[in-house]
Amino acid sequence: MGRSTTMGRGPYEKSGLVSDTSLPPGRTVEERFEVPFPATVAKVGGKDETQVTDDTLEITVELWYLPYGTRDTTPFKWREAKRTVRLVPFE
Amino acid sequence: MIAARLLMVASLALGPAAWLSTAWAGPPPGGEKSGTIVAKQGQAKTLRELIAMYDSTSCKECHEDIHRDWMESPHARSVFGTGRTAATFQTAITNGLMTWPFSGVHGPGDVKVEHFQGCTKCHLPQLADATDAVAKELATTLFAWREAVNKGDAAARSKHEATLGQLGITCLVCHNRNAIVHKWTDGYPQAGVVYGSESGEHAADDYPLAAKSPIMHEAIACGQCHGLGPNLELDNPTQCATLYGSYLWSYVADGGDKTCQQCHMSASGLGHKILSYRDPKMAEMALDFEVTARAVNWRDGTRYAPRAVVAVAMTNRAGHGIPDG
Ligand code: HEC
Ligand code: HEC
Ligand code: HEC
Ligand code: HEC
Ligand code: HEC
Repeated sequence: MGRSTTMGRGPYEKSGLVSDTSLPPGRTVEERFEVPFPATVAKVGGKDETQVTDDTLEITVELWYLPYGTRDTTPFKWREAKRTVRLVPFE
Repeated sequence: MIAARLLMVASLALGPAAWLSTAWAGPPPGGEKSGTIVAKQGQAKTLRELIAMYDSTSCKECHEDIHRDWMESPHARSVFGTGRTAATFQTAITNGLMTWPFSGVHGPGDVKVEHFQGCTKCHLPQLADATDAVAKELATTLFAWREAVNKGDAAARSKHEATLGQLGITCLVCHNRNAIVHKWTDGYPQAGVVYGSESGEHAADDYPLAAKSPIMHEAIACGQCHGLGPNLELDNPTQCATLYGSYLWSYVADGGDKTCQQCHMSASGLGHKILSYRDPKMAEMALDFEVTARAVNWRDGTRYAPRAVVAVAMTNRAGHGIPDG
């Protein structure tokens, strides 16, 4: 109701915004994610060393619209992109 | 039309200088307040009368394609919606109006037009042309519908859905009642006239005239219901759609020059089938989505676990923030 840090979802209990996660028109919004490769940690010469168990990652990025804030109510997938990344060993 | 012709004569008598001195090139499209549909018919006293007042089923006879497209747009059922709109209207009464100490509403029977306007100013603007008895009837219908849904009473449910489903932003809301926004400047929309792009005769018996609406191709025609922010003119403000605000203060401010109609009705090829992202064409027009991903690791594996760095760039191509509301 336009007070405090609390927002309402119903149009009858809303008179402002505390936070807005919509995409503004014409501007580029960037998001960056870091995905660790599956790995185990082994002792090598007394030190911890990360050893990758798979050098290839299949990454799927999905952009979802959740009108009611969760995937329970009419979620909608807007975009999907698949990418494959491979670790190239240093030789 | 007689009045319009007389005006033309008067203007011509003033000579070409008078024409040049104004940007106005013809008679005002509207007229006196006494000529509107509600002024001529009187306020609707029942839901049935309100539905009949702006009923557009007769338009179907000649504008079949447009009618079919309009039926597929949420405008055709702007109170029922997909069920979610009707449910939220009801919640606005139970969780809102009935819990507020100064609203004067203790049950659906106390709901007046003024209480509904926090929603209907956009979802059903013609409710302003009805008496409080109609607001009460709408509230009790919403409650009866919700009860039928809860009880699993299919017959009652479909009866109430049929009633609520007839309440909408009909052809006559856009092409008559709401076709003129500046009524002191352009006049009030007149009964018997369909407002569009040209003035002249119109083939329908009950709407024998057509007139040029000054806003039919302007964003404000849509913007008048698509919200600026909180509706602060109300005794208890509401906030639902705010998209016209985003269009004005973000899209236009950054140099955007398309109208709502150009994107939604022309470029999309959808005409009156005005829809959002659930239509594949609108979803495609909505945004650019670029994803790059690369692997990164350090020679010294003690410090850093190898990872993929994924960068996502999203550029909204609509004329406003998405999603809205
Ligand atoms: C008997 C046939 C008929 C009926 C019924 C009819 N129309 Fe029309 N209408 C026409 C024709 C013909 C035109 C001109 C060609 C066109 O634009 O399709 C027209 C044009 C229009 C226009 C465009 C006018 C302009 O100046 O751009 C609008 C708006 C319109 N009609 C709305 C309606 C509405 C709303 C109804 C229902 C209340 C309706 N019509 C019922 C035949 C009809
Ligand atoms: C300023 C105009 C305006 C007001 C006031 C308004 N609405 Fe809306 N509402 C809209 C528009 C336009 C949409 C659809 C587009 C959007 O969300 O941008 C909408 C969407 C909705 C939706 C979502 C429908 C769906 O299926 O996703 C619900 C529910 C809703 N309104 C209920 C209400 C209720 C209840 C009220 C009153 C408490 C209300 N609205 C007040 C204009 C308004
Ligand atoms: C939400 C508002 C809205 C509703 C509802 C609506 N129209 Fe329109 N209509 C418009 C607008 C805006 C235009 C002008 C489109 C443009 O600028 O390209 C238009 C254009 C038209 C035209 C001119 C011909 C054309 O296709 O450009 C006709 C005829 C028409 N409408 C008839 C109807 C009929 C019949 C209905 C009901 C079945 C209806 N409209 C419902 C907003 C509406
Ligand atoms: C008289 C008020 C009014 C006018 C005029 C109007 N709209 Fe709407 N519009 C609404 C309402 C209310 C809804 C939501 C109905 C519901 O709850 O499902 C809506 C829904 C929509 C939606 C679908 C939103 C969604 O979330 O799926 C779009 C797109 C839209 N309108 C665009 C337009 C365009 C473009 C115009 C102008 C040609 C326009 N509207 C004119 C009131 C209006
Ligand atoms: C530059 C093109 C463009 C312009 C201008 C534009 N729109 Fe849109 N609009 C879109 C696209 C594309 C979508 C689909 C994305 C979506 O549904 O969110 C959309 C979505 C919508 C939605 C649904 C929003 C939601 O929550 O998903 C509504 C309502 C709407 N527009 C109304 C309008 C109105 C009213 C105007 C004018 C004030 C307008 N649009 C101007 C392209 C445009």
